[in-house]
Amino acid sequence: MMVCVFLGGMAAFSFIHTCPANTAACAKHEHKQRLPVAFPHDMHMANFDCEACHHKYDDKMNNVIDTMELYSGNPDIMCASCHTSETTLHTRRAYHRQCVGCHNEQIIMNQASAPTMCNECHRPAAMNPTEDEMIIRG
Amino acid sequence: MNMTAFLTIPSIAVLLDFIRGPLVWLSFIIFGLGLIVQTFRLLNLTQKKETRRLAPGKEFVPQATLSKRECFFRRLAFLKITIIGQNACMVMFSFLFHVCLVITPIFLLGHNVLLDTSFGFSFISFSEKTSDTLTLIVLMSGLVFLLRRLLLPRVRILTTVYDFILLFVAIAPFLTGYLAHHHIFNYNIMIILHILSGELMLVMIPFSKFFHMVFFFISRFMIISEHSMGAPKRSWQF
Repeated sequence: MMVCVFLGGMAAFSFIHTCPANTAACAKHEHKQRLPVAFPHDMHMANFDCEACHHKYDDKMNNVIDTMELYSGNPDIMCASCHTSETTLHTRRAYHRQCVGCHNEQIIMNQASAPTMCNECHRPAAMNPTEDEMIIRG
Repeated sequence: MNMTAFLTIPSIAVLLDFIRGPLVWLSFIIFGLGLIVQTFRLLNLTQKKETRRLAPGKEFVPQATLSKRECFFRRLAFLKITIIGQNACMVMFSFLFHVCLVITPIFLLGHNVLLDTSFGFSFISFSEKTSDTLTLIVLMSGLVFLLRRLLLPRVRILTTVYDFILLFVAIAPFLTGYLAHHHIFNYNIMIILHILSGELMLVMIPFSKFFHMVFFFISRFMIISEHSMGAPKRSWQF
């Protein structure tokens, strides 16, 4: 009986998949497990300065990014160009702090309704409103 | 109802901020303090020792020492009269249920990301697929327990509403979490229910039958001679 229970337990847990890359703290975590987030860039552009998000910090944490660099198609201004899987503030952590941090601030300051719960952003593409709808709502 | 409109109602936004802010802290504090208080309360109750009075002519005779081989088979035979021998299926579901119930929330990717963004530390986490399967195991064994309580006469006769409520409270965070993750019904409502039910469960643990989380270990290992983990004999006598 004991053996049966043990084998049953082992069989049930044998699917557990734990590779080292599968850890939340792991900087090399490249699995994209949740649904991709559709980021409405135009809506954010309508409400915020470019430097509110795009940044290049000097030693005193001043944002010294050159706004002339911020043209569409420049690969160096993407988040993942600096926040790679090698850095401490890796891509996922950077995204989460940037997005959710600001969204929380917006709610605390009572300025706008911004999504803060996980799947409000990580959702099927069919559930995303179009860019125009978001601008009207925002 | 449009979800954006739902969130812009100030009271709802305030509610959401409250249940995922102060209420989480409050429930964890109640949970932690409750565990400590209840454990010490139990230990206090067991401090009083009963004096042993030996009946005349019935002195304690230690059992003859057994060889290792004999001892092993005796224990194996003893398993037959424990719950494993009597009700193996139930034991298996119970085992799966309890293991999954404990490990799933701790090693869930979403929870760990939240921990990471809030405090900068997190545990290792399962893949989403693994967590999904573990959650389903919890839900399935919860269903088995429910059906068992409803259908088996010998269990049903012992069952009160309290048992159903506790089963529901234990299952609710997993059910709402699963529904929210898969965008079944409304995500925002589901995630609010998920947080609330999790907090309810945390608060209820020290003050209900859920406290077998601690009592299990106490009764299993402190009274070792009377349970299947120890030698199958009584160490006390009248």
